[in-house]
Amino acid sequence: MSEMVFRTRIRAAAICLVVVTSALVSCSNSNDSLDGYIPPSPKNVSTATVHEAGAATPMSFVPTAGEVLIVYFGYTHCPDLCPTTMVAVKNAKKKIGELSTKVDLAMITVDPDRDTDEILSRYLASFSDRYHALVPTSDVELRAVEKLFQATSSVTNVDGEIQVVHGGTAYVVDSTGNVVVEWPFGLDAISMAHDLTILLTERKKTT
Amino acid sequence: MKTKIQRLAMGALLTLGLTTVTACSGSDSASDTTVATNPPAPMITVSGEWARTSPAATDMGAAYLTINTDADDTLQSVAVDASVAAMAQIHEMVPVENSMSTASTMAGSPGTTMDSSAMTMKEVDHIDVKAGIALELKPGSYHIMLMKLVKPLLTGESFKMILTFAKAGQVEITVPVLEDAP
Repeated sequence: MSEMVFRTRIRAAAICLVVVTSALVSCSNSNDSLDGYIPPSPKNVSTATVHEAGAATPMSFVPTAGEVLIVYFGYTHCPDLCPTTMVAVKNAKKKIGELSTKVDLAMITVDPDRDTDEILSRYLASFSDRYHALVPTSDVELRAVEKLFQATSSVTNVDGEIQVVHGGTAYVVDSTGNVVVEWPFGLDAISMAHDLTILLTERKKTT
Repeated sequence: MKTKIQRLAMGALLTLGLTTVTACSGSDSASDTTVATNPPAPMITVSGEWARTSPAATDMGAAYLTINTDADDTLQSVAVDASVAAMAQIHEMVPVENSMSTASTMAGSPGTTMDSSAMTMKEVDHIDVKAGIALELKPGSYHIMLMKLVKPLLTGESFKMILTFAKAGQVEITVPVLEDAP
């Protein structure tokens, strides 16, 4: 048992190391390169079909030109990863001032049995004035949208205790419908603000 | 923002230091060894403690802290008052590969596109604390999960938490509620 705990500690340490390393890399980056991770092959998510509560048509995952959409797969019973990332997003938006009006946020719950539209909406309102609470209506719908983002999740009932597996990544989508940058768990508000500034300022130039 | 325990621990450290000095100077006056227990319990110092402000619509919370000790010990359990949460548990975030191998009843097929960042949360029975090595409970790693919060944790509030160690016994700390890591 203690060996198992030890092993998981090593793994945790390894994760921390990865986070630290990427943070160091980001610090050494020049001002015009993104701190997050750029997908090696384009991920277009424009065909995603998840409905917001009461909406007749699916939400568009393609933001207006000059804006970006942050997409996160999470759940409200998540005490650690989700609020950490949501607070970072909130603080990043604070840091970029006026530009933050061009930042939209969507959270897709991976735990639709417990997260209703109402619960998820209230949850997101704690972090952003602009948000989309997305509760997939079927497993097929959830898997389809996850596939576009190459995300995974599962909800398992282990001896009455609900265990949720999900990725800690936040995806930033631009007006082409492509994921332009991915923010791994642990990326701080400073780096997020840095990336948002680049993405939103570049869009401004081209439009 | 030192806790009472930190102050106590520092006081104890100081006392020990004095004792050592006394010992080095060759004096045999043992009367000032106020912490003399045989063998002495590890001295635990807890710092950087905080709990996350509750987002709306959730009754789960997480608390974080750093533990230092002068001798190896084991964090066995954590407890909060029933007026704060129904239960407190030590949890750890682990990569999904680890949990996949242990949970054979996975709902939903993970498919072929693996998300390398996928993680899940596991309850941990105990955590060993090594002398001289800070044990950090922080986002994405170990944390204390507060289950079924009686009411939302509000920024600026604080609550008491008791950490129980195998050798050092109980350590009570006051945990401030903050929106983000201090």
